[in-house]
Amino acid sequence: MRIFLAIIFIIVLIPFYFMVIGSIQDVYGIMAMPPRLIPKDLTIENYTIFFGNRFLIYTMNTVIVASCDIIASALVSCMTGYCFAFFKFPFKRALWLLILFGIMIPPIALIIPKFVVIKDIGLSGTLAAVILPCILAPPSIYLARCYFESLPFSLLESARMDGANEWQILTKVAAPLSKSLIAALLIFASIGILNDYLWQMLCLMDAEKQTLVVGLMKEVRRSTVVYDMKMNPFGKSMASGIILFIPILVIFLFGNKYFTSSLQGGVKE
Amino acid sequence: MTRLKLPQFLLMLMPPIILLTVFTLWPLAEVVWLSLHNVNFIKFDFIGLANYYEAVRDIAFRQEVLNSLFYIALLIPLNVILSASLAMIAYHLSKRWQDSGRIILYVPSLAAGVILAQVWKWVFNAKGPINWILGLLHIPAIQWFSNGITSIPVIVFIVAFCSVGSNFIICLSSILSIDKSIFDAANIDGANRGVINRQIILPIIMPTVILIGFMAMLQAPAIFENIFLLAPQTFAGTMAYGIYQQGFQFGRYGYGAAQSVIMLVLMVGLSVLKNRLAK
Repeated sequence: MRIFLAIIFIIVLIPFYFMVIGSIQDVYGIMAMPPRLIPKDLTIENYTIFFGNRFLIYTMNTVIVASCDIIASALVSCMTGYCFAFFKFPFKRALWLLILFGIMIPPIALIIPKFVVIKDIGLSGTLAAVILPCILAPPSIYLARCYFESLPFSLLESARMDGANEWQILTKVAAPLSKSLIAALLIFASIGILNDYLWQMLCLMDAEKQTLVVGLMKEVRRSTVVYDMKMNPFGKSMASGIILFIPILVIFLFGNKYFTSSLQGGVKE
Repeated sequence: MTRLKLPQFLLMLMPPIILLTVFTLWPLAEVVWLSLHNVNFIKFDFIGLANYYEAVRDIAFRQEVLNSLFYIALLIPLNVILSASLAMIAYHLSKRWQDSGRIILYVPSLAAGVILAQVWKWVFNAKGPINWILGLLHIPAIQWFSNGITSIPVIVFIVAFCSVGSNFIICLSSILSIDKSIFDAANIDGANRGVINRQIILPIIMPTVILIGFMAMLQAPAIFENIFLLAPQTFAGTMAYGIYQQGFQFGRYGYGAAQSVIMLVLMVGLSVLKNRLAK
């Protein structure tokens, strides 16, 4: 059984290994069959086409979009989950059903009207068009509510007795107990925004406003349209994949210590 | 439960309510409104239900609905079997194995869609490693993304590959929450691992397994990015791909919106049905 699981782990990681070594080989190395396990004739030319004059703009845009969205999304999810976990307010049930409804519908089913709405409120082509719709993440709100409900209620109540207001309770009492929740929310938000190719591609037509995922895919398509094997389309694709993967992996590895425990719903009194 | 005071209510709940209104409720109204019109870059004419009538008769749309069913039929068993069996295997091993499983199996979820598609492009290309392995077995090379019969299973495999991590985590935590005394009793009665897996764990985690299958069912018709990047053709397209094509390639917002409404009704219908069955 151990061996079986180990084989599964290796199978899962193999594509990533080939992505790494594929991105640093020339076309003969990539197309050599049997596939080379140890790269030979290393080259960095797959990466150099991406580091053109626009790379800095793409990176800046990505940083702006990702940081705004990740922070705002985690904050909104925490606040909403907190309100739902501990308070009564009018239309609570109706609002909760709407949020659950948001989990059920796939985003792509609303992509045409969302695009029209963005145009109507005059945001089309701006980075705000990418950031704002992603902030409200129903699965994250759901996770936050469940997590907060498992927190010891007496603790929050005693903070309230001591005269703390709700904002202080959320930031000073609940948040420090919820590191794993916050890590999970940050990771989900970053996967969501850094991988969200379709929406960003539709919204950001202007090259000055494009994010990494849109810009790099544009380059990749340019090099594969010709389908000239000497251009090494596969190497360039894989190099773009590596560039896109690094930020997500870094965030995951940072948050991982807290992350996995929150999916198991483990909270200690 | 205390009552939320008005200023706090405004501060904490206004942002989600505004976002929900602008980016979910408004689009929901807009999609119905658009679907009743013939919309393109210059026109906006009311045409009633003609878009729906066209969708019913459209061969491409029918193909995409059929494909979606095909995707559902393949993705549910693959997701369920993979995650449940891996979780059972990991359960019987030490905590170190479980923890590394949670991390390693989750890594593909991080790279789902655009990133991993860059590798699959190479893996499944005509002269790629998969065809090389087939060549060793004297099977002629296959053009994986040139027809529906091969591209749909390949894309299902790719999607399952990326979602196995989170499903594994859910399954494993559901197994770990089972009362340990049940297993002790089974061990005393001399049950071996297979019996424990089949007769104890599986029935207890059945609700979780059904949930995973259900999520796969909702996920399958919405598969888009892998199709768009690997096999952008109607023969492999899901309903999501059809919506994209009508809306953003052909510029027919009205007809695309009608397809979206049909997809929404199907998805919400399936969810409601599932909730009924669960009760």
